[in-house]
Amino acid sequence: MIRLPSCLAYVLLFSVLSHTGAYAQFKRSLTVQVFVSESFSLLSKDRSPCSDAPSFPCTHPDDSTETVLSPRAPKLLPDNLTIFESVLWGSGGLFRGFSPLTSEARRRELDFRRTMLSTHQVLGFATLALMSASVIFGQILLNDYEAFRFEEALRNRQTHRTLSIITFGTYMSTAAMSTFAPPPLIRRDEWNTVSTHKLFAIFHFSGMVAQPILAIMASNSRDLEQIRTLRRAHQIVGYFTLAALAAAMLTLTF
Amino acid sequence: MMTLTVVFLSILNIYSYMFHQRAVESTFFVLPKLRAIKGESVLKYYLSHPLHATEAQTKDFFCEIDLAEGTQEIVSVRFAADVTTFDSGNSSRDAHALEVVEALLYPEVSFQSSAIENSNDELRVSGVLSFHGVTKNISFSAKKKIVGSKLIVEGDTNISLTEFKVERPALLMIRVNDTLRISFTVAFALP
Repeated sequence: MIRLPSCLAYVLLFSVLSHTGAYAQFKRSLTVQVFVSESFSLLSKDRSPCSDAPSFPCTHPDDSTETVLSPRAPKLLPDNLTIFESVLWGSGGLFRGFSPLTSEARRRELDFRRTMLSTHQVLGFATLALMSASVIFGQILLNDYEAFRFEEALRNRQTHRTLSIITFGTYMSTAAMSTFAPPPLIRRDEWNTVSTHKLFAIFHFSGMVAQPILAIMASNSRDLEQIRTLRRAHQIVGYFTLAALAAAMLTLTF
Repeated sequence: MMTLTVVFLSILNIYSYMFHQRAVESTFFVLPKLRAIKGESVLKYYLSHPLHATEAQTKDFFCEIDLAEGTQEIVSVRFAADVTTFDSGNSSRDAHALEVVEALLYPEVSFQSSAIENSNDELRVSGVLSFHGVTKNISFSAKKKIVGSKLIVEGDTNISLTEFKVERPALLMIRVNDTLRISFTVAFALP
């Protein structure tokens, strides 16, 4: 016969023991919960589960197989290099002797590229201003020849000549800053404003090469008709070159 | 004898409770998480220059959210994007952007939320944005909606290029505005 106090004592004992277990389990659960949240924050702080490279956590701790964002090895050179870029800066280029193709070297090259392209911009503006002045004095000189104002023509010829030489120098320096600059990090196969800029560059570069040749031929010629023809050609090419240069700069604004 | 039986039953009870809890805890304590659907999610940035505005986007990025148990409340979000994947339609411009953000040194931009306030479909997200090697706290508003079996989250925010130590790119010697607008539309497949 079981007495009531004994029964109550057993129920109490059972209850205490059970709740002790439940409490222990509750504490353990809390620990697990904290652990799970900590795992997230640790992963995001460490950024190291996928590689040594700085990267966002690629998986959740319970996701052991999938890599969501595998850090890509940075591509150091674009696929489509120009001829100059290949010869100078390609993986086997001339400059690779003292600037090996490494991430660190490429970072320095990109800084150098930015400096060169910024200089290219500044010199471009200077060239446009100088070329405009050169064209204006060239037109004044032609007007002097047409009007037989030889004294003024002599003076303006010297000014035009000086301006043209300086223009040629700044133009070639501007071109060199762009042509010899290290290649960019990416270059996709597409037609963009820079492609148009380069198309115009073919025109104004041809003009800049032709101008001194035409000028020298006109100076050296003894045939009056030929001189007139050469001066006319020099005038047209001058305007054409100025227009192509201005257009090349304008395309970059779109 | 009776005492021993009760003790034995109590111990059995404890173990059964613990086993039951173990089975539940794996689903209860790890929050349900969803990953962005690639190709349907887009991350964009906008830059403004006195001559024209630039917009670049990527659809190749990682984004993951945690949902509260039993509801569709977003409790945390993290994303990471490779800066070289942004395309403005002009690779010369993108190459210039990669130079100013020093992509070889800092190839990723990432965000980790610290708090999210859910108010119906409106979200107020606070967290840490890492960009160009600089980590800053930001907060922004977003909206969520359910379209079919997908959860779509949209939002935008503005950051300062100067604050993230990014040298503002220049065109024709005029620098772009300091404000970089970031917008996103992220689609998640609901379980």
